[in-house]
Amino acid sequence: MEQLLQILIELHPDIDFEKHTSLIDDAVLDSFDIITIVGEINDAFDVAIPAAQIVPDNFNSAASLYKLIESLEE
Amino acid sequence: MSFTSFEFMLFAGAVLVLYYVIPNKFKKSLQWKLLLIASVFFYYMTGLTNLLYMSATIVTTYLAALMINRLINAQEKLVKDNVKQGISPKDGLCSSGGRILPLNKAKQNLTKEELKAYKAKNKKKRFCILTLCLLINFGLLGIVKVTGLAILGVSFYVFRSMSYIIDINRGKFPCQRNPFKLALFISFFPLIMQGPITRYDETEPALFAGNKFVVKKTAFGLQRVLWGVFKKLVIADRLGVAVVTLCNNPEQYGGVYALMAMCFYAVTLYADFSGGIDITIGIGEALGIPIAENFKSPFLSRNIFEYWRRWHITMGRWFREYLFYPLSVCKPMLKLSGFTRKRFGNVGKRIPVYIVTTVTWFSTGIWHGVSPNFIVWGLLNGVVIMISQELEPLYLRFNKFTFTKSFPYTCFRIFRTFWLMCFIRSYDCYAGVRTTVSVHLSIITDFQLGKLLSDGVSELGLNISDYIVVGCGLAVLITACFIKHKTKCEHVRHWLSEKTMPLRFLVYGALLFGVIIFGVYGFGFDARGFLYTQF
Repeated sequence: MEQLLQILIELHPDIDFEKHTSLIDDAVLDSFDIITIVGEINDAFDVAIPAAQIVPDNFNSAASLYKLIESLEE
Repeated sequence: MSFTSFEFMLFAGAVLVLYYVIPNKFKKSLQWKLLLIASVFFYYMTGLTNLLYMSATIVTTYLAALMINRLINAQEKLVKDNVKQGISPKDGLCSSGGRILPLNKAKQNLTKEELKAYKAKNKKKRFCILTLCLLINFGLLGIVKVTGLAILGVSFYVFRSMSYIIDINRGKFPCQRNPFKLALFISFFPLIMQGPITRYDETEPALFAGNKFVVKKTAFGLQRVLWGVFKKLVIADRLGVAVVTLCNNPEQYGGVYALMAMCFYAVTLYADFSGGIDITIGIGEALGIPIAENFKSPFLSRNIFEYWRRWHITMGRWFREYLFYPLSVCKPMLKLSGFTRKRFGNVGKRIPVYIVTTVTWFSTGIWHGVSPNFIVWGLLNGVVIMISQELEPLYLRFNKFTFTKSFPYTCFRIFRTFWLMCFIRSYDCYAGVRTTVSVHLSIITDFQLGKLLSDGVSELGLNISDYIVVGCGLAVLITACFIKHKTKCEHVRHWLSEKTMPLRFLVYGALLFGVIIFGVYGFGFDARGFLYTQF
């Protein structure tokens, strides 16, 4: 989780990713951010997030994103 | 049969009455059939060729979805059986020589490797079917675009169908086994002319549910239809006359007139397109079928990113979900991203994203039309977005100043975005790229302010009373927008529904009489078609 938080904070240092739960709904993350995050996750966790999983529910919070990574790692 | 024609109003009214006259116990089984018959009739009235083109999309989408769904089910069953019984299933499905066989015909159980190989083959087969379906339908769309064939709403229903088949392949929901129900999803008459590009999972539940008559819902729907007709007939069709005069005579109307053309075109296009969408959503609401919103006060956007989240939302969503994301996360792109990051550092990692952005905006341009001006329009959007993205660190630093949070600065940002989009959009209203560039240059070289001051604007096909009507129409539009933002209500009519009955009657009565008295319509007058039906 810490590794993921580091990726997110590097992208938007001004956002509290541990608390924010509507990153997509509040337009904190745009499509460019999402693609950057997917690329970083691919490198850091060796997990490829498929396009079908790029939905608001999976990207609205750091916790839901981490859950997605865990499910893809299995 | 235009949405604002008398014939369409009669047609939609008749459908609405018949839809709710059906007894409750038959509503679920008959309402959707009535809508299908109405949709086929409506589309047939626009031409038999249109109907034949659409049939090709319905048939190919239906068959492809059925085949893909069968493969998904087969794989799911096999995986389930493997989980139940360890690695090797006793029943279910099995691969044999590259073919996928039901297990009662299978000769052997599956090992872990065989299961993996089976999944890969299954995925490959699905991919082949999906690709074939996409090629056929986008091929047909390409033929229509290149040859200039006038197939009404083709861009919209092809995109709607393709979103369905892609979602089926993603396993988002099971396919629709009834071909007539799928035909209704693709041909649903309020959506046929100019969208929105709805997704199957957001339309399907209400489309086949069997909707009971609810006075409030139907009233809200009809109020929205009235609002759409007001925007189209009072504002768009009137101001559109000046836009045509200005854009068809660029040599005569350069300089300040060009700025007027861009501004008028922005207002006309918004009133026209969003007015049509209001009619669509209103009919849907009256029928008890919610339809996705396509506009959210786009002219209040503070930057281009926000603008594209507020303007033609469903088209942007389609390109984002079915082109931008899949292309960005495909293996070659991720590999390229890794390579460019290692080679060029932080700047390098953005190269693949920018390649995909260019492809996406190029495709968005082509979707509007296979001509240089639409391609330039699309690419310009992409370029501005990429430049904004590169400048973001600078913006972040700049936005730390307190004045950037002030109301005047927000107004400046809105004004700046409005004109930026006006300049980009001008490639879509003038005849060609060269003409548009020369018109842009004329703003610097020959401003023609003297001509405007001496001749006025009466030569543009509108007289002073027309400008007053448009001005009043815009004042109503701005007031509605202001109420919506001030009260934070979802729709102004929801806010109005809580007011006293006399006030409501006054407002809707004024709107209706506004359309009747000031609308551009009537016998012998050919109401202008909706601008977005050409796409």
